[in-house]
Amino acid sequence: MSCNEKRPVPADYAPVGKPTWPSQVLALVLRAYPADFRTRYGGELTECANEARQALGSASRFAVAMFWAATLADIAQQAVREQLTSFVQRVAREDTARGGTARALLGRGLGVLMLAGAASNVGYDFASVHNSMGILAMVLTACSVLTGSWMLWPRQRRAST
Amino acid sequence: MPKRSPEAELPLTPATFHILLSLADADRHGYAIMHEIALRTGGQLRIGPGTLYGSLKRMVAETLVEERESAGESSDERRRFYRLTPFGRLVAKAEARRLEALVQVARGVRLLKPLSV
Repeated sequence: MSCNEKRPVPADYAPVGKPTWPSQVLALVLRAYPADFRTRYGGELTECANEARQALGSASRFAVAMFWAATLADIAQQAVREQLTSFVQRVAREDTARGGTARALLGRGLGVLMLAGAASNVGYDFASVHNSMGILAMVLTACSVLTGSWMLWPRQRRAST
Repeated sequence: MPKRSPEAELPLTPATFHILLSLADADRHGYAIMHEIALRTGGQLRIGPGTLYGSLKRMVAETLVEERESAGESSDERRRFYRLTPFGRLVAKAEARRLEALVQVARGVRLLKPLSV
């Protein structure tokens, strides 16, 4: 193509300085990311998406629309994942700073559930002690009792043993 | 810091393995990684920017890859490049061996043609 030849205009072309609708949506979706991710990777991510769009050249409006739909969906999906990861890390960090209260409560709750489950199985275990399923049920009940007791055991004493 | 085993990182997600593969022969910036993956897989696998940077963030945290700032003047050289760490290379090799073993199993049960000698 010579320099004088008129180049086809991309479907989502906008004059320099004027933001295109995909870049506006992209900026909006980026706001869904945790601030640290946005600060660190936001610029690169935007540049990468724009370059991928440029690589399409003067594709049809449909192809461009499909590209932006897929790209924005991918970015939005990852935003949810990053928010979840960030939330879990924050909760764990705060819990560690408070001495692990939430984890201790969760552990005790699970311990109570396991002991309650084991207690409700005892009747079945004794009733069906003569068949193989009964023996398996007894083994599972015993495991539940041991694990549940271990979870309810105070942490300081657990650490010293 | 305790020494980590590459096998402990397996199995890798397809995105992670392809990113490691694309960085095995050269340092690349984000778009170049995406482009390389699309090229190597004949367009069958296209990683979006969200998946790419989410994976890169985790891979940097797990020291599979590291960032390299470029002091170049051109717009391409000013970007942030990513490169494989020695541990990342070991993990990529371990994953390749794991996949090779799987393919051999598939050959054993005749899901794939045996290799011609």
